[in-house]
Amino acid sequence: MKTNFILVSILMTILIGGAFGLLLVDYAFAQNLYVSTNDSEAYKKQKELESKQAERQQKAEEKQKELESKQAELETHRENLEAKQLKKSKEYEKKLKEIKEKSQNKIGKDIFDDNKKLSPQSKKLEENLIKKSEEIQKKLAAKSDKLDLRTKNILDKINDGQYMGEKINSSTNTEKYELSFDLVDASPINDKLKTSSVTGKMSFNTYDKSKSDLKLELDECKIIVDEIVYNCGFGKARTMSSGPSGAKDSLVIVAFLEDDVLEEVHATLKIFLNADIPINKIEQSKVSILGPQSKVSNLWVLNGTATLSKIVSTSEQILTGTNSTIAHKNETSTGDK
Amino acid sequence: MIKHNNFLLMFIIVFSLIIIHSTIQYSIADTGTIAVNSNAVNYNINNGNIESIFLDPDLFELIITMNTQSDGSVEITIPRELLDAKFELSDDMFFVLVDGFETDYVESVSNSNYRTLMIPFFNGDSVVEIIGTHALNLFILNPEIKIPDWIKNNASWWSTDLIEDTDFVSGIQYLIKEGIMTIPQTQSGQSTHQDIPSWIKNNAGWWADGLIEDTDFVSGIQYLITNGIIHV
Repeated sequence: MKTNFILVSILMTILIGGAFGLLLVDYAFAQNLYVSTNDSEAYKKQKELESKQAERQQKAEEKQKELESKQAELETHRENLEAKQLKKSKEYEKKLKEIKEKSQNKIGKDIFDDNKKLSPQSKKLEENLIKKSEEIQKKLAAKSDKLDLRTKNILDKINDGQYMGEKINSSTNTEKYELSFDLVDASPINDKLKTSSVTGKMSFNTYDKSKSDLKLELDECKIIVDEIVYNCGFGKARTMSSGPSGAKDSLVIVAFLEDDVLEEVHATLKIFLNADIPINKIEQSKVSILGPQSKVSNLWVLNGTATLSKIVSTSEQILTGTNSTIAHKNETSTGDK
Repeated sequence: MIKHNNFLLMFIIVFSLIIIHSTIQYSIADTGTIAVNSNAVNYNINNGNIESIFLDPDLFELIITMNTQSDGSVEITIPRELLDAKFELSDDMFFVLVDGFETDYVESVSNSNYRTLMIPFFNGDSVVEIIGTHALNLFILNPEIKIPDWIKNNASWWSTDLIEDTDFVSGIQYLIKEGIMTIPQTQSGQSTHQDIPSWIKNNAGWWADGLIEDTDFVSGIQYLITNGIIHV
């Protein structure tokens, strides 16, 4: 009886345990199914993300390859351009040599003739004398029959008031900017290993100004490249953005040059410069003159650093002076009262 | 006699061909299209032929190399997307140099897509440089767009209609004004009462799920700004 009871108990335990076990298994199965459904959605999403990622990766690689080929293409174009400029520079080389000799002879002769007349101080003053662009323009106009057609056309445009383009803002407040060449090298286009120094300065008046843009008109300049002194006949400058930020931290300058001694060499100076801050925010700042984009026609490539300074306009100074005088007068009158 | 006549005829034909050939050489006109960074640049040159046209994005310059037989001119149509010259939002002049010398030019056509310039040259000139203020730069891969991750939650809620359009828009306005979300320079359009297109909502959802890039999402925001839906 006891044995039977034990056997029945064991049997019951097995049956109940089995039933409970089945439930657990079932539950576990159901739970697994549930997890697997969840997994399947996540898996799909994961797969989708992975495929998108792979697609993006592939696109990026393709883009990279395309850019590399574009870069190679650009380099080839640049090399071809350099070859073309080199060919041209050879034509100019002879002319420049001749002019340099002539100008050195003339300077030597002038110094010899005037040696006793000029004191060292007055010589220094003469060296520092900067010619106004307007003076050069008048001189150029006087010998217009000797100028080439493109210079004549630009002089006509200046006379018609079209050279600087349309003025967008009507502000009459003129600011003056000065660019001094501190440490700028000039390398002949056909011999980049050779360097000569560039000294001198250029000054500009504001032609047009907006919140971020600035357009400048050349006022006067004197530039010495490889001992040849040049004056500027006309020129202009405009701000640009050097990168994707949109900040107008670059300036492109184009100016017509004429040699100071024989007034025979005509060239165009093109300067690209970069600053660390927007150009219109500059009070005084070092700027980088970028080569090979900065150059003197087919002669020199310029590279180095310069200083760009904003100079308070004379009218502003006069106005400030007048105001202070008025203020002073007012104070006096108040005092009298 | 017939033989003699034939010889004379042959001589006349050959002589004519030589004359025609030399005439063509000296009054050569070349017209065509060159793809510059996937933009079609049309040209028409008298007394010369074009060798290459390419954009140097570092210099903001479109450079034309050519061979010239005598004085002439080159007419070039520049897509604005490729190179443009602007002062604020107004068109400004290009700076044009031919063989390194500043040169005057005539702008014959100007519309919203392109500008056509007529540039004179002298015999022997070989390089034209056109300097603008905006140039297409393929080499800038990723413009710096930094959007904090928590904004993605907003986008996700908006895409599933948990928040209103106005909430999302004011959130974006706040982020742009505070400089938290930086977007490339975008010209603000005239104010309209347009609804936000559904694709932008989809974009926002995908962006929140990491399926599209920040740049794609930002281009959607730029669309809203340029079309006057969002004002910054």
